[in-house]
Order: sequence, then structure tokens, then C-alpha cells
Amino acid sequence: MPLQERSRMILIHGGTILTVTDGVIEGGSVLLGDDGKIAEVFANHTDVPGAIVVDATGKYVVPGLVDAHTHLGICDLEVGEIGEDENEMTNPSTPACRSLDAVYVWDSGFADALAGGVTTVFTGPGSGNVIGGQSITMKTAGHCIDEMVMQNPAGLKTASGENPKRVYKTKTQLPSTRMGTAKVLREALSKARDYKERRAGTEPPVTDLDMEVLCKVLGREIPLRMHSHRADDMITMVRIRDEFNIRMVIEHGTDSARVCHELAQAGVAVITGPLLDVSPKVETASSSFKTPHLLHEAGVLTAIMTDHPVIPIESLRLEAAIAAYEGGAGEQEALEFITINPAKILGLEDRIGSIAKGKDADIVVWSGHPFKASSVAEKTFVNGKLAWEVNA
Amino acid sequence: MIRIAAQHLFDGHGIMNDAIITVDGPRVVSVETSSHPGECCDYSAAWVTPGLIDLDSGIGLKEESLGFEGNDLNEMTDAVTPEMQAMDGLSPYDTSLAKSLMGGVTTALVMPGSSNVVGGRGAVVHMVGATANDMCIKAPFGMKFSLGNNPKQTHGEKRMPMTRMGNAFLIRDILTKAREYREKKKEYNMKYEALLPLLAREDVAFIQALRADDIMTAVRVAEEFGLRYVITGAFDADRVADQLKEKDVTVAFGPIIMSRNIDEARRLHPRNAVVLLDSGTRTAIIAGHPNYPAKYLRISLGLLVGRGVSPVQALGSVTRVPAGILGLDGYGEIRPGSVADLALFKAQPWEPEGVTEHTFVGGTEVYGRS
Repeated sequence: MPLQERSRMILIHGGTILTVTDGVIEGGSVLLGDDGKIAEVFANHTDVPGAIVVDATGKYVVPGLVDAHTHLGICDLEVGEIGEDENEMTNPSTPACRSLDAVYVWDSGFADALAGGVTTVFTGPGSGNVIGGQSITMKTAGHCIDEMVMQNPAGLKTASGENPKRVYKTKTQLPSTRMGTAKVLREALSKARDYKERRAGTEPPVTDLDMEVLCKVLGREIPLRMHSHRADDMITMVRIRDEFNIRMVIEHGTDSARVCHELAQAGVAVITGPLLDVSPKVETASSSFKTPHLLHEAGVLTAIMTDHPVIPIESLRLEAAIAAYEGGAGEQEALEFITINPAKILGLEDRIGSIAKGKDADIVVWSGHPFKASSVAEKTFVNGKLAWEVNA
Repeated sequence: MIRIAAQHLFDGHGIMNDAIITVDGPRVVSVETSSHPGECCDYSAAWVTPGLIDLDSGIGLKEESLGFEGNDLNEMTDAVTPEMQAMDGLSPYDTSLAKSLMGGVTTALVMPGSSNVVGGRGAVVHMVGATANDMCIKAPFGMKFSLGNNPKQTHGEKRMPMTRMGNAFLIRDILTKAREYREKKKEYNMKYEALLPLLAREDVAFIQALRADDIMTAVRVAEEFGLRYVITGAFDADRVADQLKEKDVTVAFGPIIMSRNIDEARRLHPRNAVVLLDSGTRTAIIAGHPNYPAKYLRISLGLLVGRGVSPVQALGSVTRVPAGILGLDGYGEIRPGSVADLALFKAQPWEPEGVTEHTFVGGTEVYGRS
């Protein structure tokens, strides 16, 4: 397969290029360099001697999609309970647990991601614990996690609302209320603040892996990735964020439209979803495809997630499509919800989320507009290499 | 009288351009082509189809956004409960009902869930009504059976079934006893009574089977008792497409989009449905609500159209075909005399862009997009 050769440049020409950040180019060309980066974006058909040519005439050329909240590879699709490594529910606070140690890269979900045009994911622990553990950002193509990973840790998974209190109530253990959940988080951060001070002093404490991670949070190196459905939970968690002057991203944000102006004021980004499901519990009752657009209108940096495996990862584009046509976002804004916006939330907007010179060559050639259900991803390139081909 | 102009009308059988549908009371009275569609019409839409029909749905039985309080899907205190009736658990206040209308879905066969080997009898309902009785088109209708992991997992630690052998045995056992009961009735037995219409071929078995081996077990057991039956779920049907075609089996395939986080859904893929449809097997496509929201049944069809299924066949699989399976005359098609259950779309209904603009049930507008 010449397209899989590492050392050759690839020229994708023709087609409609949705750059995301620099408009739509009809009949242009994208040159994928042999260094895995986008070497050039041409406004018209250009010949590049030596490059392998991929004819995309009549097709759509789109940046690889970014799903900023998944459990890909951590909650394996194929083996049931023995493959589920999402929640270390033996303790409500487990910051030292690392997704990197739980991702099974041969899980079929990775092939599904590539077939659905998703080339970058944030994958992390579940919401059973108040502090679940460290998440990572990774590319979806490859065989070795250490080569696929982009950020480790990318954030610290935390959870508010129904899930942690339900888990620990059955164990008759704290937290069994929202107050208890806030206490677990506040206590962990307070202890870490103390640990951090002593670590800097003359008699440093014995190394505590949990505390080391929380120090990264206190040092604003990584954000808390806060699972939160109800508006009151979001406000509580922003309060705690400000008490400790840390960074936070709201995950799910089901009821966030209610407090969209407060969230905008607080400068909190929200990753909405999953949306293509039947609301499973009380705190998700206001789930709506209109939420992402309402947040965006209010000035909140907004993305859409699948929460894979809750919604199969290849359906990310369908969620965005429904948000575009039914939720009021329109095509450009909705495309941003699954490309450049999650890239910005991850702090990776210089590498992924749009088609521009110098960015990672993560490009998908679609048979039609990716918001058409009948379109299929025909070729998915990751770091300039063909990682997926339909019917291949 | 209501007049509806359609740029494209799918009438259950084919696609007609520039059509005008006239509705009088609860029925369609005429379908004509017009060179000036839209003139003198009360509504106009890019696409009009019959109201969509979802089979083997849990809508109203497992209510959206609720836990235990709104979950009446499975009477799991026994693995064999043919005497249960979906009508008795159906809530007209499930918020998913109104959402389904917003997706052009007007009718469902609501059935007990798949935790029991024999779940109980279903109800064919409209998605709108102040009470379950108002919603009801016909009930009880259909007997739910379930094979595979679900009954094993639900009951295995307490009682039979613990294995697939146990699943099949329990079905054979109850049907054998019901047959004997029919012949020499002694004491009243509610379970056997519920199965008599099925044995008399007046009722239809809806057997949920996801894996190919479970599908063939369903076929084997149903044939032994001469049942009328439909296989539901059928994720692995592509593996036994030839056998299903040869035996003239009816399949309700779906949902097409669902978490594959259970072993039996591992191979679920739109192409499996394409294989089944291409083989000529009578196939309905279902949402399997609440595993996938009925509201977006239409979008799951786009995944089939993108893999070569014709729009006529895709739309037929959620209208004419399920209406035929339910034996509902005048549903699933638009012709003079048919029930005026109609869905009006902004663009091709199988694409996300084809947002539902108006939905009619029995000639009454039950949803209008503001």
C-alpha cells in the first residue's frame, strides 16, 4: 500500500476542503508532509512532484474529529466486565490512578473511531468516584499507547451529582450526599495544598502519589475535568475551583443552558453530551441538542462528546449534525464543536482541530458532507499516514 | 379538510414528486400530483412520509429520566411471564412519547423487555393520548420472548435459566403445557390462557435474538410449535441471511446505532442490516427504544442509504413493512382511505438535515416545529 509508506508526501487534491478555521476551499489541495504535518494547503489544484496523489474530486476533506470526553479503550467493547477499567470504586478519591495504565489499544473502538473520522480522543476514568484519576489525550491510530499518547496527564477526572453518591451510599460510606461529594474534593485539595507547602520546605514529606497529582492541579498544570449534569452542581464546583484558584472544564453540562451566562462569566468551557441517547436518569432530564448552541451564544467555549461507549464513537458527527440542523447551531458552528473547540479545551489548538499548514496531518476524506448520515469516511489519515480505508 | 403539498411523497411503496394529499377527518381521501404544489395548501414540505412505526419498543414502559420509579419493563420475579400485558405498565406521560412525535414516529409496538424468557404481551399504540386506552390501537398483541444472555444474567443465580439450553427449554416447556391445556382444560391457568392465541396462530411471537445461534434457536423452536413469529434485534442476522431467506423469516433489525458494550452487540454494524435487506428477507428497521431514541429512527436509515440501500426500501422498512407485521390495514402507507398518520420533513428524512416539521396522528396535528 503506497499510501502507508512513511517516507512519501501525500497530496489530496480536488473536493471541498472544510478547513474549519479558514473557510471552505472548493477544489483545493492539501499536502501531507513526510514529517506527519500538513506541509501546505493550496487554494487550487497544484502538482507536487514525488507526492502520492489522492483524488478527492466530489468528496469532502475535513480535519480529523476530536472527541474530548470518552472512555475509549478503558471500557473495552468486547469482553464485558473483565475489560472494564473505568472506576476504581474502592475509594472515592483515587487521583493517582492513570488511564494510561488501562487503555487497551486493540479494542475495536479504535477502528470504529477511525471509521467515523475521529483521530484524537480524550479518554479517562468514569464518574463513580469523586476523584477518579488521570485522563490522557491520544491519537486513535497505532499499536502502542506510549506512541499514541499526546498528553499524560491531560486532566484529573472528578465527578459531582448522582453517580459518586449512589456508588458510596450502597457501601454506607461517605459521600452519600452532594455535601459529602464537595467535602471529599475540598479535603483532597486542602491536604494537597498543605503537602505542596511542606514539599517546598526543609523537611519534605514522604512522596504521596495522590498528592503529587493534586499538586499539578494546584499548579494549574492540568484542569479538573468535572462530570456535572445539574446546574447547581456546576455552580458548586466552580465555587470550589475559585477557592483553590485551579482550572476546570465541565463535562456533560446537561442542564448548563440554565446557567450559561454564569459559566461564560466564570470562563468555564463545557463539553456537552452524550446527546444521541434517551435520558437515563433524573439529572439528565433536560438533555437537548439545543444546549451546545445556547452555550456558544452565551460565550462559553463548547464541544460535543460521545462519552463512548455510551454513544458509539463513530456517531460523533451525527450528534454534531443534529445540533447543527435541529439545535440551531448551523453547520460551521457545529463542526467547530467536534474539531477546533475541543482542541482549544485540550490546549492542542496548535496541533489539531483544523486544516492549516504546520498542524498534524490528521485528515479525513468523506464521500459527502460529514453531516450527512449517508456519507462515509473513505480514508482517514493520522500523522500523515493512512490509518483507515473503507472496504480495505 | 387539510391539504398538504409534498415535493417528494413516499406513499409506502414508491416516491412521487409534486403531490397533494387531502385529509378529511382521520383519513386520507386523495393523493394527486399537481403542477402547482403548494397553492391553496395548508401545509407544504420537501418530504412527506407515513408516520414511522417502531417495533419492540419499551417506550412508556421504561420512562425517560427516571430510575426504578419509571421502570416497568421487566417483571423479573419469574423468568416466564406470558400473562403480563404492556398496556398495564404503559405511561402516557413518558417524555419520550412527545419526542418521538418530533421525529415523525407515530406508532409503536410496545413490548415487555428482554429479561424474561417469556416476557408478556405487547400493545400497538399511537405515541399520543391522555391515557393508555386513548393511545391504544390494538392490545394485547404480540408475545415477547427473549433468548441469549439477558434472561441468563437476570435469573441464572436464582432460578432457571442459567444457560441457553435453559432458555430454549423454558419456551418449549410452557408451550407444550399450554398446548395440552388447550386440549384438556382443567383448572384455569392464566399463563397458559395468555399463550392460546399464539398457539392458534392468531397472535405473533416477537423473539428477541441477537447472536446468530440464538436466531436459529428461535427459528427452530417457533417451527416446532408452528408459530407465527418475528425475530427482533437480530444483530448477527447477516451470518444466517441465507437460512432466514430460505425459511421466509420476518426480521425486525435494530437498533442500528447502539453502544456495543455488551458481548452480543459486538458485531452490530449497519452493513449487517444491508446484507439482510439485500437478501430479500422481509425486514423492518427498529429503534429499540430506549436503547436508541425512537425520535432519531429516521437518521439510522441514512447509514443504510449510504451503503447502497434505496430510499424506497429504507423508508419502507419503518412504515409499510412494520405495518404489515402488525397487521394494521391503512397504516404505513398514504392512499385514499389510509389513516392520516403523516410526517412532514424539511429535507430527505434519512439525513440529519431532514428535520421533522409537522406530525399528524389520525388527521390531527400533534407536533409543529416552531
